[in-house]
Amino acid sequence: MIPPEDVLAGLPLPFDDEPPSVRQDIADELADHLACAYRRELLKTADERTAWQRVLDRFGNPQRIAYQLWFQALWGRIMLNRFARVWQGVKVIVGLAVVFLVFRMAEQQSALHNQLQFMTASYNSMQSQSMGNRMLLEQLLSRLPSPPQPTEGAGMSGAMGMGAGAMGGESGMGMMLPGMAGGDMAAAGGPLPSGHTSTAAHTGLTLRLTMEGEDNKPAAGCVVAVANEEGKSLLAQFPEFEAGMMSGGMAGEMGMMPGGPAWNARPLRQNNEITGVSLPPGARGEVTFPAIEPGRYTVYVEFEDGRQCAHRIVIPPGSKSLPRVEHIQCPMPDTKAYVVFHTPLVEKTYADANVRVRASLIRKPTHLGKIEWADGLDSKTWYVYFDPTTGAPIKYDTSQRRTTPAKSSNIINQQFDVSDLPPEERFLGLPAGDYHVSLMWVQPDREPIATARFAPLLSNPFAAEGAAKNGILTIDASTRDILLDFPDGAFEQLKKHLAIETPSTNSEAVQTKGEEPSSTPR
Amino acid sequence: MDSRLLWGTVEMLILEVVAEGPTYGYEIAQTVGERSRGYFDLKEGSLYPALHRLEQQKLLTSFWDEVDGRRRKYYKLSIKGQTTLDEKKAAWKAFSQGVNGVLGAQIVLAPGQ
Repeated sequence: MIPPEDVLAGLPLPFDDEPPSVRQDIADELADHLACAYRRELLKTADERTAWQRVLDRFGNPQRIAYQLWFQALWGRIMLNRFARVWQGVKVIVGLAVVFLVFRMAEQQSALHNQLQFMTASYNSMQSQSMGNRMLLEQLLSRLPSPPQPTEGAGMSGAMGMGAGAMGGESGMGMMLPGMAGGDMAAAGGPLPSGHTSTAAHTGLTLRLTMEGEDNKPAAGCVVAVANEEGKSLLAQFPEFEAGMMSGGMAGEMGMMPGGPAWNARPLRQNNEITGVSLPPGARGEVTFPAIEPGRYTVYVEFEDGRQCAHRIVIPPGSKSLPRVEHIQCPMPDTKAYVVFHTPLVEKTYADANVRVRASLIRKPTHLGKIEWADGLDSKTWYVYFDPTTGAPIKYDTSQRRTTPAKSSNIINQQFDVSDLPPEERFLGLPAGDYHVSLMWVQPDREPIATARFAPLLSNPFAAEGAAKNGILTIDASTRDILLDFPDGAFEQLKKHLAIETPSTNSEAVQTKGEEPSSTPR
Repeated sequence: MDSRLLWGTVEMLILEVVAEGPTYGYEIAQTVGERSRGYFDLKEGSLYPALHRLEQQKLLTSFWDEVDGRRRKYYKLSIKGQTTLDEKKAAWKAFSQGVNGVLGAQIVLAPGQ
């Protein structure tokens, strides 16, 4: 006989809402049928196994019939369950599709927003450029001479209203803007011709940069920037330069060359958030800003070698403000001296000590007119390493610290090995100026043993030949050889210090004290 | 025999047997087999699904009784089952008369055909 639990073995796991009696009822009903059939067959044959086999042959697979009855009884619930699962899957798929669509829409919206911002910025830029164009046109028109009255026999030059000195370069038929010739402008050195007024809210600003000296050469090779009090850069809309010869034999100067705000723009070294315009060599040294609102501004000028200034100007409000011309005089670059340092020779006993000189440039700001110029470098220090047996330099090590406003400093180091050069080629290029010079003897493990006593930072006990005074060494373009020597008594003190460190003295100390030699300086 | 015809017939036979009194599956199968002289041999795989389907259709009702220590499910005809049985029997009667009418009829030809 098949136990009921075996009849139900083929059924799946019960559902949560399956009536508990369904399975048992199916099992009992089939079991009763099998029992009746078995009893009937047993009457036909006494063999239980044969009787049971006949029952099963006729009945078939009880588990299959049980599953059929179970499925039939729970068909509704099964279908509902399957539908619920399918519906759940559909909901998940639809949910994912909705999330994907929302994400895509957000992406497209963001792209549209960026595009709109870009178009807005472009429009604003075009607006300001248009305003600048209008201002410039007004300035140009104001510089044009009034139309001449037609007179009999007037020459071309008379008709054009040109003066003898109006044109730069070759004479002849110049361009249409003689009033903008550099000669007139440079000689005037002041505001533009009267009769022209700026709009109430904007005025033009022209920066004219020249080098110090009597000939007032135009400055070049620098970056010029103007920023408002908020640190926002004003871009020169039309930086100018000379064009030289024109085609057809006409010569003259291009007054203003439209270039756009991006032409030749450079960030400042002292503040890379401020953008200026670069004046290349050959430029006329003028930068124009066609439209500036009243306010306080800072004009920045930076040269490659570090000369820089930050000059404050004020554009006052006023409906009749004339275009402003600001003259900036720039200092000449440093003169250079090419010097060779020489140290005194020390005894061979101390030859393994490192000898070096430290020369620190003392820099003070330069004032030209009302403008203060700095070199943009907090310190410049040169180290010269020497061969103690010959007193000749063998290596140079430069250290420059450059500090920008509110920015971290950066140190630039460079080293030059000159030990394989002939003595006359072992020079060091230094800017002319005043220096603190220190001479140091350093032990082989680089711990200085003489610096503190013999080369304090602010004084120079070692007199440089013919130049040292109060610890300051003055170097000019004519300086060549600098011999550093010991002041009186200093060499004896040095020998005494070095003697303490020599092996023979250490061994004496050991003999005296019975201790191992110590390498620590006393 | 056409299975569709058989299927409707089996249900009618089951209802007819149950109509005689409460009975159980094994007995229904035995009764149908004996009365049909073995023509209808209801297999368990067909009988019990049919019984359960008739019960779901409310044509049969069931109750449990204990016999020889086993639970036995008895079926009896419901009022709806009785009505359905009567309809099926009337339909079968009409069907069989129709068939018999065709199969048993003599074809009378007109003279000369």
